[in-house]
Amino acid sequence: MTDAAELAEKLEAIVRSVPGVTVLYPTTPIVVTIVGSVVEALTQRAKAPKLVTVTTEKAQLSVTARIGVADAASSAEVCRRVHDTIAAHPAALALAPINTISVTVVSIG
Amino acid sequence: MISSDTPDSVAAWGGPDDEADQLDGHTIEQLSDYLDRSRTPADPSIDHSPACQIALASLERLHGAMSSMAQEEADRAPSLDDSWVTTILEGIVRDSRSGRDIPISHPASTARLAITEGAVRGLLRAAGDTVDNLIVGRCRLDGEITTLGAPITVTVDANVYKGENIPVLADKLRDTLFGALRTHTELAIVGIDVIIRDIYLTKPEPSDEEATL
Repeated sequence: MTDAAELAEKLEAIVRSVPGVTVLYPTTPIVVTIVGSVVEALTQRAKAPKLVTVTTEKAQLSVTARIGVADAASSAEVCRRVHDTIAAHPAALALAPINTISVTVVSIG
Repeated sequence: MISSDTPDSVAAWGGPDDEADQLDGHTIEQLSDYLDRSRTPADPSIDHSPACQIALASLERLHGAMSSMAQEEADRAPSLDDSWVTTILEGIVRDSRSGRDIPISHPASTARLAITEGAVRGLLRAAGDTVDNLIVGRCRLDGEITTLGAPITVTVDANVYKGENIPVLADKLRDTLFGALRTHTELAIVGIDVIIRDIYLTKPEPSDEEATL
């Protein structure tokens, strides 16, 4: 497992624990996820869709997450909280300088 | 480049949504069937799709509203005109699509924060459906929503029960929607237009038991 993949797993748990986050959605398009699932079924490899994506390019880190937010919370505040939590995570800071952290609220309630 | 996966672009999410009557490869009929089966067996292609989840939430509320209609009306409605149900279902499909990304501000240069247009329309539908005696048909956001601070107008089509005071209901709906938008987004709302498209539902009479409570 690469450092980026390990960090993605850690960040997935971290993002889930941010107050107001109700669900994480795959960061790859549904079609890609479905095709991937079919391929995995054929090769008998079980693989969950990626819920947080981490890439390192030109020695800089980019993180992507798509979240659902509780109706009682504020989407804007929760979104900023997720960004700040990722930005402050020691494992992220240790891997490479952060280039971008993309967080998108895709459902509410 | 080391990657745990390939991040999407906005365009990549078009996919099956480009089909006029589908959400991530599923028709509204398939989603309704999934709801009727209590979401079993679990279908990851539905459960992992925000568009499908938004549509399912809208369908659940619509089912609830329809079951509260007077049975006589429900029996009679299909033979009279069921186009209003079709219109609402079409609205659910359109409103649940991801659409454009609406930015959320943050002082950090690393931040790329957004809320999808579909999430906001889903929020508006959910908030609107909490207003008694009214069913939201369709929501629309007009303006440069991808630009922070740009003036935005919201238009909502709604259906109401017969005999309701429409101006009062429209004001209540407008207040509810504005509150939801203010809580969840940074959109600069300059107006919320409410259009009552149809008036056909008969409010169910309370039972004797309910009437005495």
